[in-house]
Amino acid sequence: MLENFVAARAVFGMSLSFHIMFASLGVVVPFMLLVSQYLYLRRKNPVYLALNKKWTTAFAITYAIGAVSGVVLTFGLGLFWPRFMDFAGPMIGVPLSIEVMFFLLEAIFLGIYLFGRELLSPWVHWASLIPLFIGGFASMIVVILANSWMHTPVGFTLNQAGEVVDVDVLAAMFSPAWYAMTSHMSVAAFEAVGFAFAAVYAFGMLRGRRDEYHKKGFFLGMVVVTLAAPLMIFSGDHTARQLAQNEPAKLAAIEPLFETEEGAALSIGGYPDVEAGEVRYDIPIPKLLSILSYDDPNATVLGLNEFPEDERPDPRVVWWAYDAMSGIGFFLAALIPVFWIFYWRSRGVPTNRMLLSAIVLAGFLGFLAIELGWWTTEEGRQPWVAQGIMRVDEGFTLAPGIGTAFFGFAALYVFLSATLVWLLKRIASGAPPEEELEEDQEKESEGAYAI
Amino acid sequence: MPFDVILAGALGVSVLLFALAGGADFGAGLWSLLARRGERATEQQQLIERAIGPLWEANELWVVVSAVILWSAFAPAFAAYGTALFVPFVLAIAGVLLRGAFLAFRIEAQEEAPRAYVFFGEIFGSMSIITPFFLGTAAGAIASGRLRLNENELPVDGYFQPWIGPFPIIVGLLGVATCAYLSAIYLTIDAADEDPRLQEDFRVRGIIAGIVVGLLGVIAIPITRLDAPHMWEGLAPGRPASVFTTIAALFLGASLVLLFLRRYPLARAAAILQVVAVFCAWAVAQYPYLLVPDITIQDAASPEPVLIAMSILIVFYVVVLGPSLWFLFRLFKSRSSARGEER
Repeated sequence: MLENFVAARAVFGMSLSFHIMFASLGVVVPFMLLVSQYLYLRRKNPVYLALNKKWTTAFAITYAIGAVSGVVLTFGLGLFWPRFMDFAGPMIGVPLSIEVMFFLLEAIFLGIYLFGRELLSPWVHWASLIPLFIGGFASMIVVILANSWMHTPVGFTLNQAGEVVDVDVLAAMFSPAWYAMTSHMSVAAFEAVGFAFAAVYAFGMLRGRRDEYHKKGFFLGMVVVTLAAPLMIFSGDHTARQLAQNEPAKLAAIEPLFETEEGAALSIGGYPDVEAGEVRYDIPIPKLLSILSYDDPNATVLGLNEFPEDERPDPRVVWWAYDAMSGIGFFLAALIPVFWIFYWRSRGVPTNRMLLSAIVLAGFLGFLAIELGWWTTEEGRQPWVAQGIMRVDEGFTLAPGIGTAFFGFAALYVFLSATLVWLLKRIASGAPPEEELEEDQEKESEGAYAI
Repeated sequence: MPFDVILAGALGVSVLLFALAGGADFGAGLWSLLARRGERATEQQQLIERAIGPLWEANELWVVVSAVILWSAFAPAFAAYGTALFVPFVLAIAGVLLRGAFLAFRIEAQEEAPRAYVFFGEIFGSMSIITPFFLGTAAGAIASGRLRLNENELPVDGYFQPWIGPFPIIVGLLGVATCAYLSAIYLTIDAADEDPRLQEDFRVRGIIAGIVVGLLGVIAIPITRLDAPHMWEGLAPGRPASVFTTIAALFLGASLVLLFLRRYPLARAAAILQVVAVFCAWAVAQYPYLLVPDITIQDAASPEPVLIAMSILIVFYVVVLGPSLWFLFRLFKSRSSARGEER
């Protein structure tokens, strides 16, 4: 069986990797629903209604999985990391409690939205998406506030015995990393989910479904990513500077930079040879790391050598994830002008097979980039669970059977994912037939609503 | 009143809300599982889905509210629970994960995949029983005094002995029975719009479940005396908490009589008050401990600024979620309960 330390990390890493996808959907799908239903109500085009209904059905399932896996994580913090929570509870508990409030708000209005289509007048039904969206978006922000504290823990005083004695609640909530982390994740969620939406319809179009339903679904996804991708470039840049300032060890590990350097080069690719303390086979771009970190080509960037050996994150664990995430980011950003050139040349939604295939690929890559980015930031924090204050190996549970729990949860997630994919495939049955579209529209405009 | 006591009260209220709202949804899972034979089995299952479909996610999240209050305001208690009661809590959350996911799958599968619908229902139903049982045993372990910590805050008697014992198990069983009882009574009102025979089905189930709750309650009396001495001190006749146990017994009887008379909304009110009274009795008897007898509310309380922030946040919970919940329940429950009054 696995050691507790490894098993607790594995079970939590796995649970978060699972949850983060559904959480991202939980933030962005309500936005897509707002847009599609607004377009339907304004333009009275039944295709938007059909899209909206299909997305609602899919969201009912993905939201439920997001919610229940969130419950697992809430309890999981106490079950797998009790010693960490004992210490950190007072500091990260407040943002997490705010998160739960927004989570509940989202759940309440999800119930209203899902089951209220026949009870509410169309515009009231649409408006019930607003608190749903706010709940999802705000809960993402505050949960990352709690996470960012682990990277830059502030807002408390330790006494001689190592106990937390004084807490500044607001300082702990808005720790130095908060802005970079929340903005980076928000933009990433919109970009990944936007591409995933576009990818679903691009896939249908590749299989010969070139109807208005597919074109409109595809186009709405592309509009969202067109807004998100440029922001992502700013957000990535800001994040690098935040790292240089507050988390130099993480920056050194993801780069990787073994020795402190003045006018440091940015290395692309390659392999970090930890024993030799150098990067092999990379493509260095002179001075770029200094520029990105400090806006100064001759600035000094700290290397891993500045940190005691047992306090360094392992570059072999994070460098590839970071490079892959950035690579995907640039690929996705590059797809957008290509799409619009095709759009302009074909005077409408393009049906070029190469482009559609690339966008189907982008649908997977967006989520992969979220996972890689999350991996980078959390592995780059090692060996600390709270940077500089508490080590990960001081935080895990001492209860037995954690290895069993890991295999149990792994089996559950596989089972849930398989069932989910199967069911979503059943739901993705393509555009409804013309008659059904019209019927739906009539039903919508009849109106014998409670409110 | 000091902030730590206010927050301990809020913790109790969140657990109570979870029992009244989420618990009943778990009970509905049990009835869905038991509805396999008889001519109206499918109708019963579909009534259950319609009744809990819009509400179950919000209802279930009250237990998460309890968790965040615990870890923000009483972190050491949360750490002790999580460590010593790892096994029952893991089983309970595995139940939450599976039953929630498969309820959502099931609701969508009804149209999209009829054959999977039945299978998804089996998972939803069976997993709905696991969660209240193991949460009940964990609560029983916390209150019984069976769970003792050593100087490293690890359980003295290992990870099973604290919760595998007469008192935790009777609390687990009472948890399941109470969920089933609440659920059956709620469903009589949800069935008001439907076939009257469906309403009759849940009336009978409510009466049976209520009797089971009463019997388990009687069995729990000697067990409490033997296995949960601190609780017994509070609950024994003549002690402060015994007022609430008496009230609970009276409301349980009243709800059974009202069910028998087909006065459904009143029966529901009595059932809810019965559960509230049980929680009051529990809270009074356990006070001031968060873990009998090693951790008190005061021992575990976070620094003052955190307690103040959390207390302010509780106000926000009420202001933001109160009206939202009112709207949710009004939309999906008011019409059927208005019908219930007429009958």
